[in-house]
Amino acid sequence: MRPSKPSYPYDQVVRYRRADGGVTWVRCRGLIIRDGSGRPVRMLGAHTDLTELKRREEEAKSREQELRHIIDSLPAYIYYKDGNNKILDLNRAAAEEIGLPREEIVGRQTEEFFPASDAAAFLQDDREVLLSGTPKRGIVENHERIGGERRVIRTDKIPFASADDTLDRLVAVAHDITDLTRGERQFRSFIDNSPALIFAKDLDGRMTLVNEAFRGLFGVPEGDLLGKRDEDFLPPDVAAKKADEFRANDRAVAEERSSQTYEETLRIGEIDRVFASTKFPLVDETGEIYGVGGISTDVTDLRRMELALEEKKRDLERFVYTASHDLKSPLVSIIGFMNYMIEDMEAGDTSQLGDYASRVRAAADRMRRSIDDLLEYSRVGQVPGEPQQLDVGEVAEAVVSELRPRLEGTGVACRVSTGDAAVWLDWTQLAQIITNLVDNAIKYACDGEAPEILITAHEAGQGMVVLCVDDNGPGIAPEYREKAFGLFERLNSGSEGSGVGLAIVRRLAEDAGGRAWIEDDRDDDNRDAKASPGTRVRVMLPAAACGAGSDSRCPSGAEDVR
Amino acid sequence: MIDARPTHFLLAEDDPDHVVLVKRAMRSARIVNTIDVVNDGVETMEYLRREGEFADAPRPDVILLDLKMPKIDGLEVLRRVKSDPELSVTPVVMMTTSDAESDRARAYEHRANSYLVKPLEFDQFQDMVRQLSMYWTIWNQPPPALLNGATG
Repeated sequence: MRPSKPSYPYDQVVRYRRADGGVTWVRCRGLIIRDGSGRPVRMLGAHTDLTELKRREEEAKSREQELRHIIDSLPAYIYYKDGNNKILDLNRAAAEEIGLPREEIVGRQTEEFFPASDAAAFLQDDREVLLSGTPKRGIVENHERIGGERRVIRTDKIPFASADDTLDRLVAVAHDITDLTRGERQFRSFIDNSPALIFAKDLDGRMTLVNEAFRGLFGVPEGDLLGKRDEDFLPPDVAAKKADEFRANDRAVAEERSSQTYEETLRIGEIDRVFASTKFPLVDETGEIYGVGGISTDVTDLRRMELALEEKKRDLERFVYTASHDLKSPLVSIIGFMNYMIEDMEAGDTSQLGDYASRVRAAADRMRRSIDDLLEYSRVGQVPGEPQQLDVGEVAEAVVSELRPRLEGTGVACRVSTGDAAVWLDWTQLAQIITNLVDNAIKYACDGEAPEILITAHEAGQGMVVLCVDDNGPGIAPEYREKAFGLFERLNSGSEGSGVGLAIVRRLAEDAGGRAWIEDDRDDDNRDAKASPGTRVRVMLPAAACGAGSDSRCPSGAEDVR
Repeated sequence: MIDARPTHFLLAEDDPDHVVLVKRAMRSARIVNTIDVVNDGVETMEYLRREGEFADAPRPDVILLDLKMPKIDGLEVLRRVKSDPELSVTPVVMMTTSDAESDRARAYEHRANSYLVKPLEFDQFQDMVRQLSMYWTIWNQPPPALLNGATG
């Protein structure tokens, strides 16, 4: 007789509280043994202590819960997938990102939750990882959320072996770096759109950050600047002069642990550019300085404008000074002589009356001229000219014919040989420049023998034309040449006129973007042999846009004038 | 002790009218003194250094210096006089129509001994010249070096 498959009519797990207070789990089973006729004969009972098993079970369960809890509390999205885009499991963050409860996602296909193109891309990466058996890190992907919002995700994929040791699963750990990349890009946008040079250097003086303006200034790509020291990318002559100075400033900032602003000058191309450089220490989370940051603003034009403003202020001061002097002086004379005339008449002395009266008249004339000149000078630039293309020769001829009576009266010859030089200027202004120059030249030339004035012009490059008015008079000594452009400067007390002429020429030239000066004597061994060096005034003016090149050259020496 | 020796003025003035006016005002002050006139800064330096046509020029007791002159202006003449050890003791009186503060400041910076603004008022002008000549002729005692130089 084979006993039938045991069945336990009595089988239950019972919990006992032991005397020591602990709990013991016991499985109690009872088995009834029956004879051939089915009558119960005996009963077998067995008690199994389940306490240890129960403990292990509970421990495992709580460990799994713990792990689950840890994984669910990670902000990263963690997916556990097979090699066919099926999601075997995922953490809470990932489920929330998808927007469904975990239970509704597990076991389903990725493409059910992501756009097909994204899912296909994931699968390709998954397979690559499984095939190679090595993790792939830092995969940056664009995810489209349900609703269409795009997020930037950086994912690490790690291959995983299933129970039978085949690599057919993987864990994907993904971070949403949308805000990070946006922040980074925003930072780049700010610094790259700044007209100031922005840079950072490590403590060895190597560039760790440069902005677009910085790259543009040196005309080199970022890659050629990062990791370089100043002396590696500055032009060698500049580096020799400046690298130490910049380095010293960087060091001072790092040592002082405070921001400083320095004025740093840098020759770039042909121009000395002045930068106001604010440098500051770069400090890490622990308070350690790891580098120096800098913001350099190009203040070259500002400085130039400041200087120009200073110059204008001085001009104005000179103007007021000269004006008051030139008006007061004749007034002192007029009042003085009138009083002496009265005094003399009362005393019956008429011997000086004629002399005094003519002095009064001359002083009054001088005063009137001064007032006219002042008004003329102050009018310069007040009426904006209408620039046009002007043939210098044409205007010069017109001026010379206007001045013909004076030229003939003083016996000064005047020649115009300007070729086809053309300038971009207001007609009246050019005429005034030439008139004043010729006027001036007549004054200086008429003392000499066979006085002659030569008007020439030539292209000077960079869109400028130089107008030359040379005479063969006694010339002006080098130390007085600059003075000649001052207001009311008379170089010898005898010469007539208030001397506002050259000042107006200079002002008109400068207003047009040019300049005016008296040329140095040519270094010429034969100079002593010549009776007089002549005065050589030069006025640089903007060339007419389509002004053709000119063959006419200024004479390089006084012998050409004769 | 009052030294009644006639004072020799050098008037550096580019305006011939003003020369006439100063000279006449000095005459009418009836104080015995002598006056030479130079018309610009270059002439002033030549006179003081006894160069060219001024080889025989006497050493002036006082220089009356116009601020605004052609070629070399008054300030530059002043600077040169005061930095020349032989000339620096000579008193320099600036005489100008300018009452600009900057001019006055610069004149004193360059060690002008006095700064006078020519008055527009006729009586004041006369009075100023009269007192000027009286002050430098009668009251002011010249430095010994100048006294010796002038007489020796």
